[in-house]
Amino acid sequence: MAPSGRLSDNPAAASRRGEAMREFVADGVAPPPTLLDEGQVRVAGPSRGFWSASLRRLLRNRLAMAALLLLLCLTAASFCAPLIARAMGLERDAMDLLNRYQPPSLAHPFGTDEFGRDYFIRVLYGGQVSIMMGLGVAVIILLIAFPLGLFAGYYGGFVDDAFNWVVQIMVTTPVLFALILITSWLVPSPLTLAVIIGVFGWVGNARQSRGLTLQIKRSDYVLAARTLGASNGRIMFRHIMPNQVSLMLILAGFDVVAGVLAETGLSFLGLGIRPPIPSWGNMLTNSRDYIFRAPYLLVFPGLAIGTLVFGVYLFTDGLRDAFDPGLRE
Amino acid sequence: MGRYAVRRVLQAIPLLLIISIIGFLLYNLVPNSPFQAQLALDPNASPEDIARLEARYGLDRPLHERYLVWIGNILRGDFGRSYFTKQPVLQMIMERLPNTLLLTGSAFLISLVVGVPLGILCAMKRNSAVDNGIRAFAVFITSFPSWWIGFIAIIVLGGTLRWFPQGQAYSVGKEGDLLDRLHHLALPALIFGLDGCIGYLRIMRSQTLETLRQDYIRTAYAKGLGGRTVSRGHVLRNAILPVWTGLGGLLAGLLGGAALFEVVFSWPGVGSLVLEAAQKRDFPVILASLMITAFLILVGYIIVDIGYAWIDPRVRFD
Repeated sequence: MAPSGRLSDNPAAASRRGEAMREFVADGVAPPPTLLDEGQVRVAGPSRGFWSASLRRLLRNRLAMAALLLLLCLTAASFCAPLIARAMGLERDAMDLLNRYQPPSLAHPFGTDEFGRDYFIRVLYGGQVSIMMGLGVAVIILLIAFPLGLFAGYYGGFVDDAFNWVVQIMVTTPVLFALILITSWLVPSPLTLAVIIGVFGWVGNARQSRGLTLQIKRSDYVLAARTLGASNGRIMFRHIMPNQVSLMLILAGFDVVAGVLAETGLSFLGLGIRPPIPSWGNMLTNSRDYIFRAPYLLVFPGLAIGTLVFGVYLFTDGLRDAFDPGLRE
Repeated sequence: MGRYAVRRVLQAIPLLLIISIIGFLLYNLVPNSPFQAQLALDPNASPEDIARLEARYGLDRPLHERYLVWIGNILRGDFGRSYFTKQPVLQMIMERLPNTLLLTGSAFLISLVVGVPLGILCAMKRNSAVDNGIRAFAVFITSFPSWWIGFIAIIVLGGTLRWFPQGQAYSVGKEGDLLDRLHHLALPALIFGLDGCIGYLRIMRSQTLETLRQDYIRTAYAKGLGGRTVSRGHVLRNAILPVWTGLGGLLAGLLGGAALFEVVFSWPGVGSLVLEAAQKRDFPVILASLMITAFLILVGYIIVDIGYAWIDPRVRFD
C-alpha cells in the first residue's frame, strides 16, 4: 500500500536520522549503547540475530509447528505412495472391474473408483502432482519476482519504467485465455504447468518487492553503506535483499496455495495433468460424473486439497508472525 | 487531469498492440494448424484438402503478413470468422458478452458490498469472537478450489434443495422474465464473488487497523469527537483508498477468471465460448476474445486510476 502515509516515512524525521547517522559514520564513533534498566543488563545473554530470533519464535509457535508436521506427513505419504501401495498389495492403475464404486472399507480406505482402482492409493499419488505444482510455482515466482522487483526498485528510472511496462502488459492480459492458448499445444506435466502459472503469476510479488525496495532504499543503513563506499551490488544483495526475505517467504506460502488451486482449475477446464496419472485436480473433475453414485469420490480429493492448503496457510501465518511480528495486526 | 486521461488512453494503444503480438505469436507457435489437428485422422480429408483449407484462411502465408492482415482487419472492426461455425467472430462474442459482464459485474458488486463492511467490522472488533469467526471462515473457504465449492453448491442448493436453478442464464421460454434471470444469476454471482469478497475483507481489515494507529485519529479523539464521527469521517475515508486501488485488479481477475465459473454454472458467456473454441483450436475466436477482454480490463484500469484524484485530493497528476 502507499507507504507515504506511514509514520516511519515522515521525510523530515528520516532526514534528521540520516544526518545523525552521517555524522557518526564520519567520526568513526561507535553507536551509543542502548539504555537499559539496571535489572535488564544482568540478564542479557549473547545477542540474537534476526534469523535465530525468528527461527526461535517459529519453533515456539505450536500451531505453526503442528501445520508443518501435517505438511511433512502429507508430503511423505504422497512420495512414499509406491511403497504404501506395495505394502497394501495394490497398484495405482490396477483396474478391478468387479469391484467398482466400492464405498470406503478396510481393504479400500477411500473406496474404489469407476474402474475399481483403489482410491486411497490414487489420492496419495495425486498429492505428488499437487505438492510439486505448489512448490514449483512458488520457486519460479520467487526466481522471477524477487530479482525483478529488487532491480526495478533499486535502479529506478529507465529500469523501473521498463518494469512497469511489463507489469502493465501482464495485468492486462486475461491470464486464463493465455493459459488456454498455451496448453492447447503443450503436453501438460507438473513442471510445464508450474512454469506457465509462474510466468503469469509473478507480477503481484514483484510489485511488493519493488515497493519494499523503494522503502528500504531510503533507510539510514543503506545511506550509511553507501557513504562507506559499498557498491550497488553489495547494497542490493547484502543490505536490501536480506530485509526482503521474510516478505518473500510469506508470499511464497500464498504462491504454494495458488499453485495447488490453479492445478485443480486447469484440470477442471481439461487443460491439466491427463489421466491415468492421478492429480487431485483431475480426480475432482472426474468425480463429478459419479456424484450421486459415489459421492466419496468427490469428497476425498477435496478434503486432501483442503488439508494441504489449510496447512500451508497456518504455517505461512506462523512464518509471518515469526519474521515480522509487526505485520500481525 | 484531462491531460492525464488523454495520456493514459494514448499509452493504452501500444499496450494493446503488444498484447496482440504476444497472443498472435502464442497461437502461431502451435505445431499443427487447426485443420491438421482436426482432420489428420479423417480418411476423407487428403493432405491437399487440408492445404486448400489452410490457404483459404491465409495460414500458408508468412507470419508477419498474417499478423498485419489480422490486426488491420481488427482496426476496421473485422475480427474474422470462426474456422468451424463460419460465423463472424465479433457477432459470436457480442452475443455472449452481456452475460459475462452481468456475471462479473454482480460478482464485483457482491465482493464490495459484502467484503468491505465485513473488513471494517473485523477491524473495529479486532480479535473478538466475530473477527476470529469471520477470518477462520475466510481461511476455510479459500482452502478449497472455488469452482469445486460452486459445484457442491449446485448439487446441494440446486439439486437436493432445489432453491436455485442448476445453470444457464434463464429458463427456456422465459427470456424476458427479470425475476427468472435474477434467480439464475444469484448462485453463480455469489460463488464467483466469494473470492473477491474475502480478498476485500483482508485488505479492508488491515487498512482500517493501519489507519486506526495514525496520529490524526488520536488527535480526533483527543479533541473530543465521538466514536461514530471518527470512524466515518477519519478512519473510513482514509482506509477506503486501497479499496479503490484494488478495483482494477479485481476487475481484471474477475473478467479473466470468469471462464471457470461460466463452465461450472453452464453460463453462456465469453469464457465458455473460448473454452469451446480451444477444444477445436478455433483461434480467431480465442484471439478476438483475448483482445476484447484485454481492452475491457484496460478501460477498467484507466477509470480506476483517474478516479484516484477524485477520491484522494492528495493524489496529483503531473
